[in-house]
Amino acid sequence: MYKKNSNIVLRKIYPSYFLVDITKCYNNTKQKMFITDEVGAEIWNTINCGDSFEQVFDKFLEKITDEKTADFKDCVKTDLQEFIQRLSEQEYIYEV
Amino acid sequence: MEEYENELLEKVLQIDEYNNEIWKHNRQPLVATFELTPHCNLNCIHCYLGSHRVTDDDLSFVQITNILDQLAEAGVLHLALTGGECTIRKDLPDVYEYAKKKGFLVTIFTNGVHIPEKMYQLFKKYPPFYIDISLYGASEETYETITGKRVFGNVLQTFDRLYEEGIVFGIKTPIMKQNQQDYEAMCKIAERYSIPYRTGYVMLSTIDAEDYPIEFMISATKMIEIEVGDSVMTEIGFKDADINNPWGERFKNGEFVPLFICNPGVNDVIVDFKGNICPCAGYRHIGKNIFESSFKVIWDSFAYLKKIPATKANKCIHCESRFFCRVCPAEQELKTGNLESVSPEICKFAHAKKMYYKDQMSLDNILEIINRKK
Repeated sequence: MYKKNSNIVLRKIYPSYFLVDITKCYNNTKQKMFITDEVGAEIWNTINCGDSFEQVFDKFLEKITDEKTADFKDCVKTDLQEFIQRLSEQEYIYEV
Repeated sequence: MEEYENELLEKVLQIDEYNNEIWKHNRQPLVATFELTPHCNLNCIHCYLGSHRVTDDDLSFVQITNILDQLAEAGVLHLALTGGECTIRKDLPDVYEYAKKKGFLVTIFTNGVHIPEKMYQLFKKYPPFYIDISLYGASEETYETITGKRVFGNVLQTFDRLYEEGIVFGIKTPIMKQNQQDYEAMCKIAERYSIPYRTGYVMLSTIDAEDYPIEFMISATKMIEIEVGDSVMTEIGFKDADINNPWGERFKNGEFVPLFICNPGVNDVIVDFKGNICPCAGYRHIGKNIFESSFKVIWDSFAYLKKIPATKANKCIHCESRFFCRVCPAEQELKTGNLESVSPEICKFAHAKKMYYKDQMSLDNILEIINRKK
C-alpha cells in the first residue's frame, strides 16, 4: 500500500507539472525540482493513501482509456511501475 | 529590483531547456511580488509608498489567501512577499506557511530589523527560497538619517541569526547621497557573511508621482565609480558596451520597434497592498483590482503591452546611450502622462555610462563634460 509524502505539492507551471517538496528551498544546484507531464500528474492525483499498486493501476487505467486489451494493459502497467519507482526513490511516496 | 526579478526569472528558466524555450516565448505569470502591507517599522526618506505607509489599510488574511490561490492556479512559481515591511504583519507566519503549502518558492523582502521568532521556526521546517534584506548603511548615524531609526545593530543581529541558521539570504542597497560614504563598509558586511550584495542607484518617484526621492540620487560619476568596483555590475556594463542601438535603423526601415525594452506583462506581476494586479512595480497606474475581476482576466488584459510600438516622437529610438539607460516608460507616463517622455536625470546616467563603457573615457573627463552641460 502507498502513502503520499504530505510535503509534496503538485504544481502546474505551463506547460509542465512539478512536484515541489516544500521542505526544500531550491536555491542551490543540488536541489532539483521533479518535473513531469500530464500523465505523471494524473498518476500522482490517482494515488490515494492506502491504495495498493493494483488499485492505483485499475483507477489510472479507467481514467485514461476504455481500451482493455492485455497488451495495452501490460504496457500501462510497466510505465506505471517505472513512474511509481521514481516517486519512491525520491521519497515522494512510501510503501506501507 | 529589476535585476533581482531577472535573476529570479533566470533561475526559473534554468529548470530545463525545454521549459526555458517555452517560457521565453509565451506569456505565463511565473514570478509574483506581493505587497502584504503598506505599513513599515521604518520611515525611509526615499520610500516610494509615500503617505500610503500611514493612511492605507492592510488586506485581510482571507483576502491574501484568496489571491494566493489565484496566483497558484495561474501557474506562478516564484512568490516574493514584501511590503511596506511584511514582517510587521502578525499573521506573516500563517501567510508564509499557506504560501509554502501551495507550492510556491517563497522569497521574503525585508529591512531585517525584526524577523519574528516564529518565522525562524517555520524556516527550519519550510525553508524560504531567499531572504532579501535591504541594508541602508553601515552605521547607526546613516540609518537614522535614512530610516529615522537607529536600528543598524538590529539588522546585524538578523544577519547573524540567518547565517547561524543556514538560511539563504542576501543584501541589497539603494545607494544614495545619504549612504554613499558607507558603500565599502557595506560590501565588507556582505563579504563577512559570504552573501550576494546588489546595489541600485535609480530612485523611483512615489506611487503618487511625487518626485522628492529623485533628489537623493548620487551623481552619475559616483555611480560609475561604484559600479566599476562591483564585479557583477561591471560584467553587466561591459556586456552592454558591446550593444549598439539597432532601433534607429529598424525604425527607418519601417520595422516594429518596441516601446518597452523590458517585458512588462510577460512573466511577472506585482500584487499591490490594495489587491491591484500590476504588470510591474513601475506600472501600478494600469493595475486592476483582483476583487473586482479575476487574476486571469487582469493578466490577459496586459497582453498588449509588449506589442506597443515606439513612435517617431520617441527620442530614445535613435539615442546612442539607449542600452545603458534605465528609463521606464511606465514611470514616465505616471509623471508626465506620456509613455515616450524622457527624464533628464536618467538620461544623464545613461550618457555617463555610455561614455565610460563604450567610449572608454576617464571619469574625470566624464565629470568635466557633465559639469559643462549644467
